[in-house]
Amino acid sequence: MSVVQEIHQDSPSRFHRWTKIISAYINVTKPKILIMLSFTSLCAAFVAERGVPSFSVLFAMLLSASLSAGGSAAINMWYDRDIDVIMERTAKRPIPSGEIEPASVFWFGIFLGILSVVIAFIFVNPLTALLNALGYFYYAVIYTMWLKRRTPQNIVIGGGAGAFPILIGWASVTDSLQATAWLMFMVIFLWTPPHSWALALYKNDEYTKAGIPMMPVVKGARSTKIQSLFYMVLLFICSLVLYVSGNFNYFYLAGAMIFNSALLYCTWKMRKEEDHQFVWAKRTFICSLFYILGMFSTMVIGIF
Amino acid sequence: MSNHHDTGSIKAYIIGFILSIVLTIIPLVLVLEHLLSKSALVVSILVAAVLQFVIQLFFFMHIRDGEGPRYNVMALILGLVFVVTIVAGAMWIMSFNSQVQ
Repeated sequence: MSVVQEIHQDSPSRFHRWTKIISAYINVTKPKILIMLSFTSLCAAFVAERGVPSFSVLFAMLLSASLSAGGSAAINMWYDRDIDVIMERTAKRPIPSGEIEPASVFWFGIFLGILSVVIAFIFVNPLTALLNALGYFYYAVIYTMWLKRRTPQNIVIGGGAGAFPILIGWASVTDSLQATAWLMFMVIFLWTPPHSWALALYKNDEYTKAGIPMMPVVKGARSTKIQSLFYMVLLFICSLVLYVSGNFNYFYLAGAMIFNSALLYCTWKMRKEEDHQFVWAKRTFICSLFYILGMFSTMVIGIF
Repeated sequence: MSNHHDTGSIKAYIIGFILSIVLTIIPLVLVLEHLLSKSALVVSILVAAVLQFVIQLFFFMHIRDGEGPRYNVMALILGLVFVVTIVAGAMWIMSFNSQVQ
C-alpha cells in the first residue's frame, strides 16, 4: 500500500522533471527560428520541383535541415551562455536559467549536426549533406564565434546562415543550384538586416550592456535606419528579379509587390521616426515576419 | 437547393443537426463548469471543432456525392494546406509578441 502511494507521489514529479528536461533540449534548438527555416526550405523544394516533390525526399530533407539548424543553434546557445545571462531577452534560455548543463548542450549540438549530415548523405544526396554541413559551420562558427562579437556587420554576413535552408531545400530536389535558388537565398540574406536591426534598435540597451557590437550600438540609430532602408530597396529589386528568373505566375508578382511595399513602408516610417521612439521599429519587426511567410507562400502558389 | 435525389437526406440533415448541437454544447459546458485544466480545455474544444467540421462536410455539404469526388478531395486538401499555413503562421507570428512589448 505504501509502495503504491510512493509511486503515485513520485510519478508526477518525475514526469514533470522529464518534460522539463525535454523542453530544455527542444528550446536550445531555437524552435521558433527553426520553424521559419524549415518552412523556407520546404518552399524552396516545391519551387525547385515546380510541383510537389516526393514525400520521402521532402521528409529526409526537412529532418536533416532541422537537425543542422537546431544543432548549430544549440552550439550558439552554448557559446553565448555568458552574454545570454546579461540580456533580458535571452536570460530565460535553458542554460542561463540553469535548466541544463552547458556541456550537455554542446554535445547535443555536435550530435545533431553529425546526424543531419549522415541523414542527408544517405537519404537525400551528397550536395545536400555538404550544404547542411556548411550551413551548420556558417552559423555555429563563422557567425556565432567569429562575427557576432566583433563587427557591426555581424548579422549582414550572418544572414547567409539563415538563408542556407533555401539551398538545402533546392539541392535536395535537383542535386544542383540554379540562379533561382541563389535569388531565393538573396531574399533571406537581404531581409535579415532590416529584420534584425528593427529588433536591435529597440533592444539597444540590452545589446550595449552585453557588449555586442550591433549596428545601432556602434553606428547609432540614424545610420542603422538608413542602412535598413538600403537593404530593403535591394530586397525589393531582388524579389522582382526573382519573378523573371523563377518564371512564376502573376500571383507571385502580386504577392511580391504587396509584401515588399508593406515592409518598405514600415522601414521608411522607421527612418522618419524620432530615434527615441520605437513604434515603427516594432512594426517593422512584426511586418518582417509576415513578409517571410507571405513571400514564400506566394512563391509556392506562383509555380502552379 | 432542390437536389433531392438522396432519399435519406432529411434524416441525414437531422442527424447532422443534432450532432452539431451536441458538439457545440460539450465545449460550452466544459468552459462554463471549469471541468478541465487550460491546455486540456483547449484541446477538447479543438477536437469538438474539427469533428463538427467533418460533420458539416458529410451531412450538409455532401462531400461524398457528385461524379468527381477526387476534385472535392483535392480542393479539401488544398484548403487544409491554406488553413494550416495561415493558422500555424499566425500562431508563429504571435509567438514573437513578447519581443515587441
